[in-house]
Amino acid sequence: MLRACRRVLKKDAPLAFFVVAVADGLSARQIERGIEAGPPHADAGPGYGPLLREAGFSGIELVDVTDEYADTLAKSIQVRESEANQLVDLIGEDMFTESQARRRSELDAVHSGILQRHLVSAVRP
Amino acid sequence: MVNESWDLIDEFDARYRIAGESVVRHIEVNTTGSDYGASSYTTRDQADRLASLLALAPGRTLLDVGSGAGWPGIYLARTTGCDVFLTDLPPEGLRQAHRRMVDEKVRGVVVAAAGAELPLCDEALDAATSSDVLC
Repeated sequence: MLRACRRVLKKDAPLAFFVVAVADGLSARQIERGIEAGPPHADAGPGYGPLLREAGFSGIELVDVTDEYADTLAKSIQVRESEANQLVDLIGEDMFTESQARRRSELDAVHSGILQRHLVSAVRP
Repeated sequence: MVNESWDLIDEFDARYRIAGESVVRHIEVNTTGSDYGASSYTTRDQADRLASLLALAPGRTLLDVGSGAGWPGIYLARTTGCDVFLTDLPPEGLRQAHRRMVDEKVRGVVVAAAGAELPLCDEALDAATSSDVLC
């Protein structure tokens, strides 16, 4: 995907995106927990710096926005809980319970330092 | 792997189908500030940060990969005046994005395409973004 973006961008064009990924320097077990708890494709392998360099980008910067991610996730759990009756009517009790458990597990992984969210920016040279 | 990808597309499509329900919209507005049926964690403040980082303005073209129902791509086009090129795979998300683009009189295109196979010419666009979809 990064290579495709590089191809279609003009010279000196910026790329900026938000991404949730498993943190660096974790044990195999923690990585597995991060992959299970995180959104799809949370395992970024070598990380976005190397991936962007490999895809031909320069001026790479990563800003940690994990605190905002945790706030948004916590708010999502709280607001869903407050609307539980209507949500259960819409999606059913099993799916509501499962989705709330999934969000809590994701938030636990964030608080444990396993999942992080970054604002990544780079330039197509 | 192919089946997993289709399962994921189906899962997101199901989310977009209920995104217009008032309770779901209420949750989204009170969580991220978006009302586009977004599935990412990008808040309104963060979307505004993207507009600045990407120097979006009238006459410039933005690519939003994995755009879903249009958050933040359409929002960025509306608030900055840029043109937007949205790509994703779940059909319901793309339908909603197209409807929203027309409603908001935003200049742009919605295309069903995987992020790795963008149906665009080389060196065609001025900026690119995505929210919680890149791998």
